[in-house]
Amino acid sequence: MTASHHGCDDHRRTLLSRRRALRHAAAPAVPVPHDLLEGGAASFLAEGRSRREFLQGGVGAFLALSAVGGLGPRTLLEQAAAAGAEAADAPILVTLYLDGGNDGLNTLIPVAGQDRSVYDARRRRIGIPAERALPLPGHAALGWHPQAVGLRTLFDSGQLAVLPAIDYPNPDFSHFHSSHFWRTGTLDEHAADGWLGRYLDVAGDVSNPLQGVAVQFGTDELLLSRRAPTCALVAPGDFRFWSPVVWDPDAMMRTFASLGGEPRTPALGRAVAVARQTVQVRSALAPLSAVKDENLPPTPVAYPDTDTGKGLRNLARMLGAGLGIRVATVRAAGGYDTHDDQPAQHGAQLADLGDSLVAWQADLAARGLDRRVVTMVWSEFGRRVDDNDSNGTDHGAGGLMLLVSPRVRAGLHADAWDLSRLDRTDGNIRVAIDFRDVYAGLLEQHLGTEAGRVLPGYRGTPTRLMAA
Amino acid sequence: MGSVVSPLGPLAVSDAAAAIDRLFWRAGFGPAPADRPRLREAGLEAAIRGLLAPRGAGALVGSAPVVESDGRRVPLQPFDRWGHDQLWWLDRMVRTDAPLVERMTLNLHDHFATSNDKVGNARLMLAQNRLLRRHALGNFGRLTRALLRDGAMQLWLDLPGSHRDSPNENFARELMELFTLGSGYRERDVREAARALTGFTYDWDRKRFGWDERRHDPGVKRLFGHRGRLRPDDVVRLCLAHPAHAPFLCTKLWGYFAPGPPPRATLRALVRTYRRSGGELRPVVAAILRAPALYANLDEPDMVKSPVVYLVGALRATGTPIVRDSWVWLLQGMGQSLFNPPNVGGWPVGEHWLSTASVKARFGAMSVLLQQHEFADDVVPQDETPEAALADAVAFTGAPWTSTATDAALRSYAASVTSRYRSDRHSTAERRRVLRHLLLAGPDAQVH
Repeated sequence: MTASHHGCDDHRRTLLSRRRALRHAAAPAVPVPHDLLEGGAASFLAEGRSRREFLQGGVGAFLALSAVGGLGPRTLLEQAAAAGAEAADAPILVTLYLDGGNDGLNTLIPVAGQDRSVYDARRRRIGIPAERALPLPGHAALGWHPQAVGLRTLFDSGQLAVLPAIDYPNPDFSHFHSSHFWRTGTLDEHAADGWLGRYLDVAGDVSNPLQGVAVQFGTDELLLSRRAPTCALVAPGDFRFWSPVVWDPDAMMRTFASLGGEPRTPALGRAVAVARQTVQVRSALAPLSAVKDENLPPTPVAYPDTDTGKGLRNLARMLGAGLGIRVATVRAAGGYDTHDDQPAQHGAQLADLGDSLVAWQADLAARGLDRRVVTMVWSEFGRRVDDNDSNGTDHGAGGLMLLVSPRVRAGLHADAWDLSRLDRTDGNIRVAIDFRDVYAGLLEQHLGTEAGRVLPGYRGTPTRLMAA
Repeated sequence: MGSVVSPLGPLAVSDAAAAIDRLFWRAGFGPAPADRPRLREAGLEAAIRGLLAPRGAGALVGSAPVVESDGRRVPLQPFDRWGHDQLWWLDRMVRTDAPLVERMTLNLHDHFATSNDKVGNARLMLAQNRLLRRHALGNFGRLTRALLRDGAMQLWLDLPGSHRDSPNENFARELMELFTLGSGYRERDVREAARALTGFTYDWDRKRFGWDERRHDPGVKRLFGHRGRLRPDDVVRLCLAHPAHAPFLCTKLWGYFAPGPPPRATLRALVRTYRRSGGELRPVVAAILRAPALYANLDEPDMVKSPVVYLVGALRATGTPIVRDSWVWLLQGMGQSLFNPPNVGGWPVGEHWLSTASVKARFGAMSVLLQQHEFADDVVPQDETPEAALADAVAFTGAPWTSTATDAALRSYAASVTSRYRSDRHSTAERRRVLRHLLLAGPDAQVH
């Protein structure tokens, strides 16, 4: 047995309050017109038709079919407008989650000045020697973790916005509460929808579950919505269905999508809606899943063979296939909840993070997608300034967010870390940036949607994130 | 046993047969098809009493599994072989004659969610599992006190690493937030409790748990307004005596059996029952099983099955023994690995079990189940009628609940096959296979 482990483990929790709240979310999505499922986006495009033709055909077919399904004309118009927004330059937001609370202070390290003295005094066990840190051009007092080579590359090439000491007022150090706030874009314990789900409800589409993709087995709270269907999948290639000695799976899946009728209870409603979406996604991904991973062309920069690298690589393929993805959520490999034995885990994870992001940006650029995509790297909080006697760090305030894109205002967005002004009661970093201001900036400057429509009660000033 | 008066008043249900099926899904892993006539004859109240009756862990019916593992057929080795710990418990759930005990053990595993991902020791995990089973319908306070000294729990929430000079708050926080209170305490209470919980030790080389008085903080602590030189057991005692505890726990228990929060009067009755019994689980569960809300929507199930309940239910309904280890990764794909909850908050609930990925995984799990029941094409008469094909599938799957829309869709599929392939020998066999699969994996099968 080993003494190393993944930390304190109340993360990704599902608490009663959340359970209560979730029960009221997730109204059954609108049933998908059957014929549209079978001739989904990918097969249509595979026949060499233009996106415009597809949109016309797709929307036309949808209008014709959904009229039968009882959608009012207003919904239909919104639907048409939403599908039209899936233009060649429609913005895409990808979130990459560092699970457990990344140690920002050991990612972007004070290497000189007053902050370094405080750092030396409080990080006696796991402090990184200043001379080992990687330099940040223009910021002599800061350096990257020695293994965060990829982050340095992105920073030096002007594709990385760095937002230190990001959090919310009076931060809560429970993984569950904090990540719930970050995922819902609120400070409301009972909020039921994810902020990306709410964005899709406002600006998305009522028929395409691929508009919001969680690259994981199960639903991501970030994508919980009222109306907009979304989906969860790990890789396009594992979205096939089989049944022992059944030769006509298409006939089976057609029937599968017609089971359940029009349910009354939310439980069966969910089961029916998701079954239909599953068949829809199966059809849309069929061309991608036909190609085996080992037969894929190499990417410009090789992805690390980690869950981070694989997740981003799969997502890049799907983005390249024009499936109408608007938002996607990915989890980075490993756990960042480094209560003990931090040095053994943290550096390798930052190496994976940086290398994966470098490969991802190169892949997106090669696909002509890099200017459409902003990647937001987030974690539910930072860690205490003082390290603990297990060679780790406990939960603390003021984490580190990264935004990756050639279009962001690259560089540092606040003074990091201002350790001379630690919170007097608990010795935590003082919050410099409210994460909701960054969400608002992303919504308004990247996604083109008024922040107030997505972030309930938002009254702040959106952070200026995008280069003119 | 005399007549049991429910604290919630008399229970009347619209459809006794459907109510008994509902009961066995919520309090177990679905009705055993063979038992249905007997259960229906005896009635709902008798079925409830039967579920509540066991005083021990229950007996296993049928022979112990021999599984194919790395190409060989071996008996289960839950301590030593990958995944066999999970198979061992799955087999218990499949073969138990005390389904409520197993189901409550599963509920408590979710409530006190501990993951072998960190504990890294199947023996400790299975010891905790036995502890949960022993108290599955027992005293919650006794269980919580036992868990304070449970090896898996101690490692999981960092109790042994916690020293008076830097108390680890992990156990203290979860004890309050997730195990006993939910709310009604402050950050300061967490820190004070963490001080009182220092002193436990673990020798990593000898794998031995212990106590070191020198590591314990002997000072005065203040918890929920109580002052004193509090020690670990005092923390548990004060949490259980906290006014928020009973409503929190009763609400949580309720959530395992019925959708949505308990009606206010129901919660009051459950809290009263829990307190009067001195913290016993059996009477609270008994009251929940007699709650009218449990039998709402008998004509359309209103809870999503968790993956384990879904899988065990299908194995029981089809009489499928555990003979392979694929269930381990299949359950992982569905989102619920036993002994590996995603975090201390346990698994997600309700509709959120279902995503495109997990529905696909559930479909795939039924593919594997059906492989165990493969049959040659010529077993099926070429002229089998659609009605007979459907009847076969219904009988094979244990006559599950289906909506009228599903009945119609299956009939229509069955009819289309006959008309299309009347002369093709494999088609009637394929129809049987497809109908069985759709009944096992379709949306109707996801709810109970």
